Amino acid sequence: MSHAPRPPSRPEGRTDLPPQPADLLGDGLLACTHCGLCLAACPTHAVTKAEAESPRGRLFLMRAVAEGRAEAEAVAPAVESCLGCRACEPACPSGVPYHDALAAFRARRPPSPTRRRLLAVVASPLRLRLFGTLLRFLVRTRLARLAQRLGPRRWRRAAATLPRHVFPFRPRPGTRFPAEGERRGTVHLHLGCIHPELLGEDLVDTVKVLTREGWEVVAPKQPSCCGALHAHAGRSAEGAALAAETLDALGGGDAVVSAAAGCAAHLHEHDPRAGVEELFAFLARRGLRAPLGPTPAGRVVHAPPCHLRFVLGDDHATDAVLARIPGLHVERPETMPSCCGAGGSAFLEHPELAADVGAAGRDAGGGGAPHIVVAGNPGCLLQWTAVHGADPDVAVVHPVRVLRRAQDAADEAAAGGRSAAEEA
Amino acid sequence: MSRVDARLLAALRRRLGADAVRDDPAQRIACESDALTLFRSRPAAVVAPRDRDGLCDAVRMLHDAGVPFAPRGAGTGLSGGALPPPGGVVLSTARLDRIVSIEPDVGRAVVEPGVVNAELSRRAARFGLRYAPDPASQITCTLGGNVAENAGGPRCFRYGTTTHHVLALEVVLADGRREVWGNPTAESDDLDLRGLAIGSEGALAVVVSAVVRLLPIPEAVETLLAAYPDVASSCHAVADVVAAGFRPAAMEVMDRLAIRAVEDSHWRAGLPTDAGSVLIVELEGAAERVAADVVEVEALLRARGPTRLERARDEAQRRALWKGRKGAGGALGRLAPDAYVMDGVVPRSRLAEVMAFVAEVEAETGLPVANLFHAGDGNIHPHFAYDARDEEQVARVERAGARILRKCLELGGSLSGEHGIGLEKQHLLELQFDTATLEAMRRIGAAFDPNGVLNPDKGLPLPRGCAEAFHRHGRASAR
Ligand SMILES: Cc1cc2nc3c(=O)[nH]c(=O)nc-3n(C[C@H](O)[C@H](O)[C@H](O)COP(=O)(O)OP(=O)(O)OC[C@H]3O[C@@H](n4cnc5c(N)ncnc54)[C@H](O)[C@@H]3O)c2cc1C
Ligand code: SF4
Ligand code: SF4
Repeated sequence: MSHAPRPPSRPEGRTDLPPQPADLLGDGLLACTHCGLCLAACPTHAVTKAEAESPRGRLFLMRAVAEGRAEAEAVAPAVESCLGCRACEPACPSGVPYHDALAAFRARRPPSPTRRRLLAVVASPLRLRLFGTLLRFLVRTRLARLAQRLGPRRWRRAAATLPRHVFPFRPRPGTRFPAEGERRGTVHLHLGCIHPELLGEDLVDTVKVLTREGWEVVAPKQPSCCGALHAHAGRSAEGAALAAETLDALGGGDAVVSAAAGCAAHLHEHDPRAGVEELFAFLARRGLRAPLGPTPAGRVVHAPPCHLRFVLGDDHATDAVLARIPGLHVERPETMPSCCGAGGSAFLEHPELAADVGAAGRDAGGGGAPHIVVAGNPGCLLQWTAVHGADPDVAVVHPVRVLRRAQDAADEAAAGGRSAAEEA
Repeated sequence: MSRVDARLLAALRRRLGADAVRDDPAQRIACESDALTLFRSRPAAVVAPRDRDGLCDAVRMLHDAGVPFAPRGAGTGLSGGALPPPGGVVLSTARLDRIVSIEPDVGRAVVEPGVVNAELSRRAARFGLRYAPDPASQITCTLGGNVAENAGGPRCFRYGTTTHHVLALEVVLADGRREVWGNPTAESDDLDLRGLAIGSEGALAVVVSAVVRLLPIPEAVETLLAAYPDVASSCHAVADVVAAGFRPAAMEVMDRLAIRAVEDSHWRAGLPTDAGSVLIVELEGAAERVAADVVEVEALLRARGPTRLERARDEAQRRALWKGRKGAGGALGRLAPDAYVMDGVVPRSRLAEVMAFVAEVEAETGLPVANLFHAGDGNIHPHFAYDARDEEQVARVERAGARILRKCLELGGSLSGEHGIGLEKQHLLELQFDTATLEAMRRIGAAFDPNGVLNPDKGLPLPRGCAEAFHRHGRASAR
């Protein structure tokens, strides 16, 4: 794996500050002044309070390795416990390109076996389908529940992330779903890897919501993975190649939309000009047209995916769209950690840490009271499922499912109104 | 002084739990420095108790084993205070982060030392209260660290530093004895031990909990931004405002380089990048009073010939301004790999003079210096931008820093406004204090910690050369 070190990025550079000295460390490590202002943003630091598990600590460790004062292997456990949520980036006044530094560090080490296997699965359509079939089998036969109770420790947590209902959605490549009413344009839909295998209902609802909004939806033939997980694991070149392939496949429509915030963020970063949009950002920007009726949902807690907030900066679009639903109360708890704890594949590798971060999120959401947790990303949905476990008062769903219900409710009311009118 | 051995670690683990005692390389290396990376000292272990009893027991066990240790809050200190001597241990209070109680009717809170400054104000806000001291590092730094450094902040011009807001402290002495210093209901007690602990840089006692004052959030606030062609005008304007009898909550000055660093960052606040300096003045209090004062203060600021003078339109702009000001220190990371933040005090009337001197030193040193300071208090913070990997630059920065501090003393000021003496200014103490005073300080230290295990060598004067035992950046590479 090669990774070309970049000079410290100065994303906003508008003024004429003197340039930093040319330097061997690369990766932006030197821009960190060790001020510590990023600590408060970091979800792993919030639960362990350990300097080594904070952004500043990890940067310091990476710098120690780069300067030859520490062995990469010795500091790797602390650095690798990073969730890659990137909350520390907007928190940093010095503009340290944290993710570049982390990617470079990861790129220089072999990925863990868990990560390697996961990447091998998602990148191959065949393996992904087999894996999806296996997982669905485990859920439907309740073997997953059994593993969760009786399996080895490592399995228990992984099994706990599996949703109770699974549903695949793999439309034939090129399938067109016609717009309802006056057509506004064509949306090319990104499907993702694990999303269509386990949480296909999200995608069914995405299609329904979009077509009702007047968009024709096409699901073009596309790679089984956009490369986000590769990039997360420090395999930037593969991540970039998969993103390029995906964008190629999705071009040609009026818009490219993904219901998975993590994928949308990765594709956007790979090429901002490609114009990939996260579903709710897309809906908010184009404006809602279809009527929305009241849903019985009651209290909804929005736990925005970290990359929606810190990479795309589009998290408020979800609140804005959901707020249009009559009677729905959407909350964004102030103390919600910046990441649910899933962190790419981190929840498989550091299950305890992931569980602690998730628990902090559960507490922030106001544990006991019945509510719905919405998060627009499949990884987050799996993590929140594990966090809330068997709690009958809490449902974990993609926000599009709530939106679809509200559209249904409006439809039913209209139909009811019509039949009442006919009867009269 | 003995060393940390496997038996001690095992005993600590039995008492505190395995997760509270970590001696793997990552944990140790990460705690090598606080926010002043000029110094490094790798602890033998990081001990992070989960509760107050655990903290006290850890202190006693380390003391009995003869192992020196340094308390550490968030490690945002700027004087190397949280670094243990070689072979020592870091005792982290970060996990002691419970707000034990808030009593809105008496305006008081009881907090553990690891509670983050801004978190206390956030929690108090629902009662219409706040914790007044607001160091620029407030989103991260802990109240234990604030007490140990007697931290200040922009608002302290009006409300005073930490010591004015701490009513009582529960402390553990070096040998593990637990005591309460101060009186939670009254301002002072007979012998002000509370006052002794505040600003002692963790060298006299470890704070186990604190009773702090909460003040009502003022009814109205106005924030003024004045831009001037040079730094001296800002300094004069500050003196004018105070001379006219106003007590703004804060008066902060930033020079051109600091402005540019902020405007180049995520934290940009809309400051004019062509100005020589900006002055932020915040007035707060009863609505009528503020409305009247703001007009008069504006007139005073105008008299010094600003290139721009405006009031923050709304809360959003006010917040952006403060965020920019508070992020400025960090934003200077854009200038060079390392920053050396100085802390010195002069009488307010000598501000313009000392700033001219700083500019002189900057020219001689050839390294960029950015200035942002609590002008109301005469507390200056020149930030040197340098590259610590270059020993020659390190030496230049240190020499320049010492010259500026000497100048502060000459002008009737002091060595530290709020960041403490730490390791950084050991060698300069004798410039400010005479031999008898220094000896008295040493004896106070010895009285509380005869065995010298509790954060030895901090704050209090050391025999010459002792600080050299800590690794200085630039000289410390072969490890
Ligand atoms: C960007 C930035 C801005 C800053 N702005 C300001 C400012 O405006 N005003 C200001 O005053 N300071 C400022 N500082 C300095 C620093 O934030 C303060 O000194 C703060 O009080 C340190 O708190 P901490 O929790 O980080 O303590 P640490 O750095 O962890 O420790 C500081 C000292 O306190 C001791 N200590 C910590 N906890 C305890 C305890 N429980 N009992 C006894 N001793 C203890 C340590 O041993 C050490 O000597 C700034 C720093 C940065 C990086
Ligand atoms: S990453 Fe940024 S915010 Fe964090 S310590 Fe470094 S400079 Fe400060
Ligand atoms: S990416 Fe997230 S988990 Fe990793 S250091 Fe930054 S804030 Fe912490």
